[in-house]
Amino acid sequence: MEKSMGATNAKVINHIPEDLAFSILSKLPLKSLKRFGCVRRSWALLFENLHFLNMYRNYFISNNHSYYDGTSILLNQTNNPLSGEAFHSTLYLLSGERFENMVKLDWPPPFHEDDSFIEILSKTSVNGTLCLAQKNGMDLKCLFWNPTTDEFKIIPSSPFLYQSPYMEPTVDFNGFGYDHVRDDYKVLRWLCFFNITGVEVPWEDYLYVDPMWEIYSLRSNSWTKLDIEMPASASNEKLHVDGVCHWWSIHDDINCYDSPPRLVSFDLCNEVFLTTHLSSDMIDPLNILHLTLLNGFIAFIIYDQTTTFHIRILGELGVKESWTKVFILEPLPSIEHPIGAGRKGEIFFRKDDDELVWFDLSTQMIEELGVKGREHCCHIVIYKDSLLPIGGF
Amino acid sequence: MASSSSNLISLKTSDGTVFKVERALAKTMKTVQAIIEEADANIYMIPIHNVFSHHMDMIIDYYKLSVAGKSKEFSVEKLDNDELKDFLLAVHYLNMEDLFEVLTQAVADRLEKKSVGYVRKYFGIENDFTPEEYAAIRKKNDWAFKGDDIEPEEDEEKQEE
Repeated sequence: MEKSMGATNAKVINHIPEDLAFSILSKLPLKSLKRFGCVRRSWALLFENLHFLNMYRNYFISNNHSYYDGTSILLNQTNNPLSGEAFHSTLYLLSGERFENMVKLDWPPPFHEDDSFIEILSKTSVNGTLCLAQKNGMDLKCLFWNPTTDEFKIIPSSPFLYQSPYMEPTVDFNGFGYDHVRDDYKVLRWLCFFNITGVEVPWEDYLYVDPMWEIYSLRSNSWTKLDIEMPASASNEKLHVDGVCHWWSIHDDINCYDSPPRLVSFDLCNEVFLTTHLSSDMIDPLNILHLTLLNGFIAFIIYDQTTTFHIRILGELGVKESWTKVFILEPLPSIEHPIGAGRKGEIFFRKDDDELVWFDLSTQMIEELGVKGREHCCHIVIYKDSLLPIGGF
Repeated sequence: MASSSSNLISLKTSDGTVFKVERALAKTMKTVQAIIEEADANIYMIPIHNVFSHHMDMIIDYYKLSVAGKSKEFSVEKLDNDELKDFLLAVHYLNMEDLFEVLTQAVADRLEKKSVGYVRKYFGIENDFTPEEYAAIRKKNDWAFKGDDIEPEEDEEKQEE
């Protein structure tokens, strides 16, 4: 690749002024920046240099990650309009520069009778298909749905749910995503079993059922037990990016004891997982963590007791030292918790009066969406529509 | 074709070549614009230091592509890293916003997997760490040096996997 220009120009090693150097550096991935921190002293402190940090933030926000091409934003909002009355989940398609257009989408028929607490798994779509789930006591609904074509496909029940007549499963829908090797849609679930209260188990029928992971494959249309010791999720924030499902946990690999929080990343193709611990300065019992995808990067929004939000972007999966503090959101009055991120540095929050709002990272402005939502029941989904039939095969 | 000479600006490169460019193109060069505006009388020829004729050729190529809405087709692939750096310095001197963004991104892409040693040479930077400081920061960011595609450091022995 090295070609010499002609004899006319002598090669001069031009010194690059720092301003120009920063313009180049601000466009590099975090891993390169951390390595180049060893170039000179001032570069070791790049992320403490306000001038550089501003350039890096501007580029980060304005750089359109290909993950978002052709996508729109869905808001899944759950609320009970009349206090004490039933909860309803409502799905909105948000559009417009300031999300001023909100179009309500109807849930598919299986949810027409009961639309309470509908979950959109991994806040993602695969070829225009969403995976919806609802837990209503013993009643579990899980299905694939394409909102553009209205096609839906119910996912059959798992044979592992009722292994013993005396044990009841608690189901945690962990993730939905795409296995590009097998061209398959997969759903990941964690099952935990408890004695049905009030029922005496005859000694001879006693069967302890271990908690287990199971995975559904659309191609085989069946659930398989996963022989894997993997930490279960500690929250509702579950993501899917490029065939990997992410969530965070405070359990260790065999789900015992409270452990320091860690990111868990499960590869749907080869069905293995990787954990990424959080760096020690991110962990504090008083911190509230929210896992999200920010402009295509895995990030934690950390809310500490000073009501300031910090955003840590992950430089490399598996590397606890690579969580880089990139954004700091000054105290936002009455903001309670994030509910997701948009496509260009917008972060959606819920306020303490239940109002849902969005925060623009570049302008630092907050705007109301005009709907209210219950605590921890509202989510933003990045949706890419498609007319393909579900599964496309 | 009759073109009024006031629509063309004459730019003289470091290697003595005179380029007659459209006023609209000259407007994208903030440095040149400033010179034109500062001059009392109409300026006849503007010298542009640090800019060679081969740089002007590429600048004109980029301009033509952007006017046609095809700026994404502009490529600097044929330039090696040092030629790209010279071109970036020229565009930086001329203060051309859009092309500057394109070139800084191109340089960033070229440097992404490079070693610390390479980057020091490229930017003309001296290592101002003491050996102890360097060892400490090298260790702290060790993860950033790992990966098959990362250029190994010259002064570090290749580890046996």
